[in-house]
Amino acid sequence: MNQNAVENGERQRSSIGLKIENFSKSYDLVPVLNNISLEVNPGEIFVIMGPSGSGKSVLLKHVAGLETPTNGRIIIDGKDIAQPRTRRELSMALVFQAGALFNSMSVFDNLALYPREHRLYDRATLRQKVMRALETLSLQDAAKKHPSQLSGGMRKRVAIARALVMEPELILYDEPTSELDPTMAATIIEVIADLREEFGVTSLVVSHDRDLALTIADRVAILMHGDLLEVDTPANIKRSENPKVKDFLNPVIDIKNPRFKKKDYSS
Amino acid sequence: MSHTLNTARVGLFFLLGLALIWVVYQSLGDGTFFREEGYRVSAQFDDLKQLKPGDEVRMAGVRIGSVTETKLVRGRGEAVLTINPHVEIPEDSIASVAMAGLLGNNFISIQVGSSETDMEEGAAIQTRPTLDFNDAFATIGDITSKVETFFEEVSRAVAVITDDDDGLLSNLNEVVRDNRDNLRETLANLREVSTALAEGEGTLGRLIRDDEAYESLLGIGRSVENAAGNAELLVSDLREIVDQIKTGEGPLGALIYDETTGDNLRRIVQNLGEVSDKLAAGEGTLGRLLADETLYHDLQAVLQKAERTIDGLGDQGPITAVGIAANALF
Amino acid sequence: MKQINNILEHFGGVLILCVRSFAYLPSLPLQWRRLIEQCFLIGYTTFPIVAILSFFIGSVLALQAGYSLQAVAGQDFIGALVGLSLARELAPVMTAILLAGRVGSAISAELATMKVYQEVDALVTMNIPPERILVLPRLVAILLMMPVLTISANLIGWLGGAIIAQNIEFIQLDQRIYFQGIQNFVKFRDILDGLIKAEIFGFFVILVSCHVGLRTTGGPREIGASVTRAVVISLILILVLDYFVTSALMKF
Repeated sequence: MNQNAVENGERQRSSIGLKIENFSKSYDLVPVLNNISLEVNPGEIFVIMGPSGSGKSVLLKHVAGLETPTNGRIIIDGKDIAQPRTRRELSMALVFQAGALFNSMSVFDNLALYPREHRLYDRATLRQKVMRALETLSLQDAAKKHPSQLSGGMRKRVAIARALVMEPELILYDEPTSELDPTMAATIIEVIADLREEFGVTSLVVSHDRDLALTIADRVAILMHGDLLEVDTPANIKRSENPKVKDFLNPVIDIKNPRFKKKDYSS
Repeated sequence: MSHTLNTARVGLFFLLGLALIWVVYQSLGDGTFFREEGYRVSAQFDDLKQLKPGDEVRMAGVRIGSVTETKLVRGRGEAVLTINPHVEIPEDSIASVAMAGLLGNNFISIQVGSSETDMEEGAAIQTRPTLDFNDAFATIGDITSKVETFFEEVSRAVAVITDDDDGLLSNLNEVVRDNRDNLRETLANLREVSTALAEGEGTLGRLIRDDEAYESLLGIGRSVENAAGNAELLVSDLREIVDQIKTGEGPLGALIYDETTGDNLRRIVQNLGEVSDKLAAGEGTLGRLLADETLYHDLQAVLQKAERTIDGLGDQGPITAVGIAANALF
Repeated sequence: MKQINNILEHFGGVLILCVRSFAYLPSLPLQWRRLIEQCFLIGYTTFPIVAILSFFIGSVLALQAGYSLQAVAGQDFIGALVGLSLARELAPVMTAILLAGRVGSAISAELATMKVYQEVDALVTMNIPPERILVLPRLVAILLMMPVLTISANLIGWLGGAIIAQNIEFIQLDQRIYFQGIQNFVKFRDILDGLIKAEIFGFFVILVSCHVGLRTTGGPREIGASVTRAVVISLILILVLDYFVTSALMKF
């Protein structure tokens, strides 16, 4: 496949890093994220983990530039995302949790929308690029289907394929494995790892999937209730002494003394 | 649904819409986008009434062009007419502003002349003012007041007959002489009114579906005509009387003739009364049809005026005076 | 205070949406397929219901006029009455109201769905401004289609009036007199005023529907709320604009 890419004269992609500085966000004066600072290196798979409602997705939306932070800055490849022209200069794709496929279009058109709108290729090249993205995710048979005809796993893969066609230097994944059966989740994890191997793309993944974080991630950040608890390699995270982190990664199921009856339970 | 098919449908639909707009534009025909083909003739009037650009120009009822422009030229209204190129208008033709409906469009009516030479581009056509209903009714009022004064004088003269033989001749002679012009004018006026009403017949007929009202309107026209005819008779009668007196026939003879004169007078006044009655009867039907309120009020005012004068005429009773005089003698 | 703020926010939002969309006007030739598609949805598929409605509006106008005018034997004016009411007022207003009900609701539902299911966000992350591909083609499509719909409504309404005027027992007005009445009293200017009005109404209906749709936040429940809001605002806007546009047109 790598060979293929070179033969097809693929645009040389360089990976880009991103930096989040003193980032805070509150909705109607209720703080959701407090003073977060972290850095993702070029070509890295960086996983942000945390329980539901910890603000992971919110953070991702801000990185994608869909919302503006209350405080702090997000710098991607040295450019502030708050500047409108930054997004035009960047090559970045966001894989939405629910896919956010265009329901009115076929899978093929979903993938082709970006290159068509930006007039990137001629018709033949476009077709070739889209089909290759579909093949990468074993979706070639679904090209003519509409999103509503697809299963949840396929929809997620189409969303990733759509991101792939954009040939991004940075892919943001929002819960790529949620709501999938274990096999499909494993497939998606492999796909994410493979994309990095193949194209060297920087990946920022938001997930609460332990397998994903601990197998393919270069570094993992633990986010809880709006606070960044730890940023480290998976190996170090596993050995963390922080009780919250330990409990999150290896919850002990104790029927005699259930979590929700404990006094300090808060989640 | 295939995309090409939809494109074709949308294209067709859009073209159809444009075509419809074009058709409507053409059939409503008051367009100013394209100048009509033809040569231009100007017509000056004291009053253009409600004539406006886009109105028709008709000759013998056939549309031969349209009004392209109306403007004010030294206090007079000038209408620029564009006439179809193949239509020839003799030089001595006369244009007038006519009404196509009580509330409807005005148009320029061209009365064909007899001249050998035809009008050229840019020529000015002769015009004639047209009486509309307002004018017609105003004239009726005018006429009645003139008739009234005339009758007064006649009755005074007749009254004199009964007690002063000598005065009779000179008096009557004087009255007739003084009023000859007056009568002539009255006559002309009556004719004009009758023509105006006759012209209006068509218009009104279209508006009025009520046969009775239509008949009564026709009746008005006829009555005015009768009045005019009778007035003419009266003048000749009076002239005859004076002639007979001059040729030495006795005052008695004159007074015999007087009866005919009295009859004529009676008939005129009757006719005018009839006009007023019929107008009053028609008022309801007509009035309701007149959406233009001012016109309606004007018409009502005119009618009232006419009625008042005609009523007054009856009350003052020149006829009775003549009648008494005649009765006293026989 | 919050209400006023809300209204102002809507107002400003609509204006900004309008300006932003038309800023992408140069991209229109590149998305002519989308334009055709919207023309098809907005114009072609709306035509049948416009036709039915205007036919019956014309009929009922003729019926009412005939009923009222028979007292004064004024049946000859039915043509003028039907013709003028349709051309100056009813054709544009009813077409716009239908548009709000049929197209405006569909647009706000579609865009609200896209917003709620993050399709709009997806467009933004793809560097494709939603105004460019979602709003602009619709606005141009309505500008192209509204005159077609309105003139059809006029003619079909006139026809409906003519059929009723001729065939109803107490009217029995000859079609020639009916159409003569239209011809004598309806000026092309009346038609043109109607078309201008319709164009303005249609534009605002679509603009407001797009704005309300794109402004939807929250879950799927909000989609329904947005549709209701879009239709209500459109209807109010049509009638309010109607007064002001009509009085403005009378000054020219």
